[in-house]
Amino acid sequence: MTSKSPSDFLKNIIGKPVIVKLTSSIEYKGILACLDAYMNISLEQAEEWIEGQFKNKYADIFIRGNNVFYVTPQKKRNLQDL
Amino acid sequence: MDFVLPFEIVDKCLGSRIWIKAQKQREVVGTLCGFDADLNMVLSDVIEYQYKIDGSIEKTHLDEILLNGGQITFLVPFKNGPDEVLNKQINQSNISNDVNLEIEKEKSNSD
Repeated sequence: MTSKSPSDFLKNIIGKPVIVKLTSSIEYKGILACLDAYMNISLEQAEEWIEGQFKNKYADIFIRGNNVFYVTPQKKRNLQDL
Repeated sequence: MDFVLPFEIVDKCLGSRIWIKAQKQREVVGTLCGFDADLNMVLSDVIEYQYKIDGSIEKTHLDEILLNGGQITFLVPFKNGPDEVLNKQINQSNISNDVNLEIEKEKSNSD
C-alpha cells in the first residue's frame, strides 16, 4: 500500500474546483487558489451553500483553517449546473 | 517494556477502513490513504454521517477527502462505521433466535 500524504493530495487539487465543508456544515464551492499548513484556504469564484441551498457568490474568499472540516475535489457536473 | 505509540496504530490502518468520530455529532468512515503529524487524513470512498437535532441522519458519499485533524475526537481502526455495527447486532439477534428455536425443538423432541 503506497500512502498518499495530505501534501500529495493538496498538490493534486490546487487550481481545481473543490468543495470545502466547514464544521458549521456550510459548504464553499470554488477554485482552490492556495492553502497552507493551518488549512487556511483561499478560494476563487466561491459559492456559499447552506444545507444544500445556494446562498451567495464571492469572487475571492479566505477561509480560516480552524473552521475547515474537510476538502474534497468537486465533480465536474456541479460547474455546469450554474 | 513494550509500548505502542498512538501514531503506530494510525500507521497500521493505512489502506484499511477506519471509522472516525469528529466533533459536533459527525462521523466519517473511509479507507485511509495517508496522514501527517497533525492527523490530517486523506480518505477515499468516504461516507460522512451527520446526526441532526431531530434525530435524522444525513449520509454523504464522497470519493476522496482531506479531513482536518483538529476536528477528530477518536478513531476506530478496521471498522466500517455505524452501519456495520448495526448489521452485526441484527445478525447476532438472528443467531440467538435460531439457537432458541433449536432449544425448543430439542425440548419438544425429548417430550
